[in-house]
Amino acid sequence: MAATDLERFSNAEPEPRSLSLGGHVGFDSLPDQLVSKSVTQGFSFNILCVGETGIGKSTLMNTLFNTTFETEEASHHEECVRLRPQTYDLQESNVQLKLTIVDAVGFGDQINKDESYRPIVDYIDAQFENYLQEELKIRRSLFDYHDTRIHVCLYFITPTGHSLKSLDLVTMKKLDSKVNIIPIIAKADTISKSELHKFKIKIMGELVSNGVQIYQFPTDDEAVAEINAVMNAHLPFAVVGSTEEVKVGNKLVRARQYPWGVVQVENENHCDFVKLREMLIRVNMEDLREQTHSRHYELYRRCKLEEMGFQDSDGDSQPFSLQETYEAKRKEFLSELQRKEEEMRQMFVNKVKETELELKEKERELHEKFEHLKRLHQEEKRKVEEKRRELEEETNAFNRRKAAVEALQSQALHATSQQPLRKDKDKKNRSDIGVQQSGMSLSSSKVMMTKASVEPLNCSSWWPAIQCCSCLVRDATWREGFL
Amino acid sequence: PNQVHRKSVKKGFDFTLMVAGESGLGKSTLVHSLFLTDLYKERKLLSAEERISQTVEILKHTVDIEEKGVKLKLTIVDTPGFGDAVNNSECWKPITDYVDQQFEQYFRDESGLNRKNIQDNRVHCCLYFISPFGHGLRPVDVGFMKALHEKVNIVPLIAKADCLVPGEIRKLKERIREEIDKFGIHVYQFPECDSDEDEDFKQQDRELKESAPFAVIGSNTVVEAKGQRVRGRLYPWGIVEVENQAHCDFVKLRNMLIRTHMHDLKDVTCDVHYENYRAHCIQQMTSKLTQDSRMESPIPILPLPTPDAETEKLIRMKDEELRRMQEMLQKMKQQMQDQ
Repeated sequence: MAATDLERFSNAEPEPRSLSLGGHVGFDSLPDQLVSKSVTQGFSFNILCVGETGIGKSTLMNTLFNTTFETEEASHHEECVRLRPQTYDLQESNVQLKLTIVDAVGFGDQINKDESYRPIVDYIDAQFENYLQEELKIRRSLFDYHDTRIHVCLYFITPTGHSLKSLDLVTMKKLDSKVNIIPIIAKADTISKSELHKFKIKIMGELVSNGVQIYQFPTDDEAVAEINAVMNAHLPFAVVGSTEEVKVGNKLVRARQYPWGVVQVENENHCDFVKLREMLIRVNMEDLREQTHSRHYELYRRCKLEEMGFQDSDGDSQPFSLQETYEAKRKEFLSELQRKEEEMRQMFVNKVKETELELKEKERELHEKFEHLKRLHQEEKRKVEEKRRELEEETNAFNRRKAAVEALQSQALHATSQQPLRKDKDKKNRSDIGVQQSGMSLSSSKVMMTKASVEPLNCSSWWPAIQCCSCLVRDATWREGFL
Repeated sequence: PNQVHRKSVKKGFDFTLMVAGESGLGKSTLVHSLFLTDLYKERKLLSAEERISQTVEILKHTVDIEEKGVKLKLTIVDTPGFGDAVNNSECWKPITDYVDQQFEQYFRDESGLNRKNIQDNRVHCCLYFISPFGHGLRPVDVGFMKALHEKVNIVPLIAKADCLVPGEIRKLKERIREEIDKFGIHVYQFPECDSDEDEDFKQQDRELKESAPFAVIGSNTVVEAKGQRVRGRLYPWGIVEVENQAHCDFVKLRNMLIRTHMHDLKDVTCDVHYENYRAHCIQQMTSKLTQDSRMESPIPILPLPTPDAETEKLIRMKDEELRRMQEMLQKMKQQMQDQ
């Protein structure tokens, strides 16, 4: 709608004409109205302090705002980085400031610092998200909304004197597209002037070569362009913080007292604290807020909405309506859900069928095995039966033979010659030889035989022989030899 | 005593000092100030992105310095890259490996046949630099000290002490002492002086003990202060003199390290740390041997000095043969039972 109206207008008049005023109208008081409105509304400003534990973040905050924010000392042994936001209401000659200081506690302390930057990035994103949600609400109150988006990040660099630490580089790269970064050299009273100069150059060189975008003070507004340009050259600021007052000359100033001298915080020669204060609070606070809103927040918003699937109106010049697109998306989403549900149900049913089939197969197999085993068992039984029968036959055969032998015996008793007996005994001998038995019974039977062959036959010599034969029969081996 | 003096002067002394700590804490500057020699003429410092996944190296510099006829062979072991990477887990491992290696080499040399020219490369003292920008010990400091306190004499130092006012120095020292006790770290303890020494000496000794860990400042440059040329750092608000006792503990450190306690450090290294290592090593070897004969596992290769290796090999072979015979016997028995 609005687009088509504008089109008509622009078609009618090529451009707005500039007219000159005849008298004093009075809309030059617009800025003043704005100022008084803002003053009554109050301002809010959010600072994020990132730096190693003990580097002087809280002290610097106290020094900057000339008050004491009660913060307890952090320990070095935190498991992971966490952010601690604290909000204060300050007032200076009827201008109210709602100041939020967010502290990154535990930064740089862990042994494995790979994930140190993540909680910080998550926090910044969360603040953007909150603002986005507020913006997208149907009934919104941006007027009253307490803006918690981070306007500036003060990054505290350890004064090693050589260069940036690897952790600093990695973290700044992750943060530069989300927030305005101002790098600061902390505890600058540990570096001498010449070393400081070299250090600054080294740091800026490293930042530039790695493509880290730090906040540049704006140089397009004539009122502050000059001073900003000068300040830009002094980045990063080397600061010293102190809340104690020391008597220098006949004044009490904030300073640090060493055995070899006194470092004054507000002395330009000693450190860049004054410059930082100027830049941060007196000149550019509004610009920082502006940048946060226009650059970083818009970037975040664009990414987020693109993610959700919205796009700006393309070729067909139909006005872009959030509502319609939203409805369409919703329908799509619901249908997707339904489809997925169906799929899952289908899969589930299939799986059940498969498992049933498998179970049936297994059952069948088990049955088969059972049958097979049963058959084997029966076979074995049969074989055993057969063997028993054979054994019985053989015992019968033997009994018969025994009877025959006894008959022979009785015959032989009446016979005079030993030859047939000897023949028998030889036969028995030979059968004995076939036996692998341990010596005892064999030798005894042999002895008996020889004894028997020498002496004249009588019953006493035979009985032992027969006894040996019977004990041989009891062992299976004899049978083998015999057979 | 004179004879001992003459002999030791002729022989010369050797001392191995290790410096460890994060980059940029002033280790090389301090070494320069201590020994008044410049060891790092052309040193390439890595830039930040190169250091993201830096591994720790061990660099050794050896210098021979002489003062009034007494020769000192000084070896400085530097550990660049310590604590630099983003992920510093186990970054002290190369250092512990190096110390163990030196011990092992000495052990082997000692058990060797030719003992006349043993080179003593064992680390006698380790100066550990604690960052003054924090509130006490950091996890990486604790990890390092716990890994090394049973192997080397650790002397903790607070580096770059010119960023702390005297009150803060005191608080930090107390804090560090508490944390050292809490984590059970055994740093080098100065030996008690005999009761028959004079009072002055005892006073000095007491002061020394109370000011551990030393808060030091190093400097390579000479500046002009009050008409005198002294070593120090020039600031717009004053000059820090390195050798001024009121400014920092550098003088105490130097006295302790070089003038009075050098020999004690060496002794403690030999007697305590080296013996510990040796006992541990031998224990490991014997336990491994007994373990092997029980478990019948392949015998691992032990770090043995060469002369005994032959006999060990023979023993091992015999063991194996025995085992094989045993197995065969068992098999035969089983066969017979089956029959």
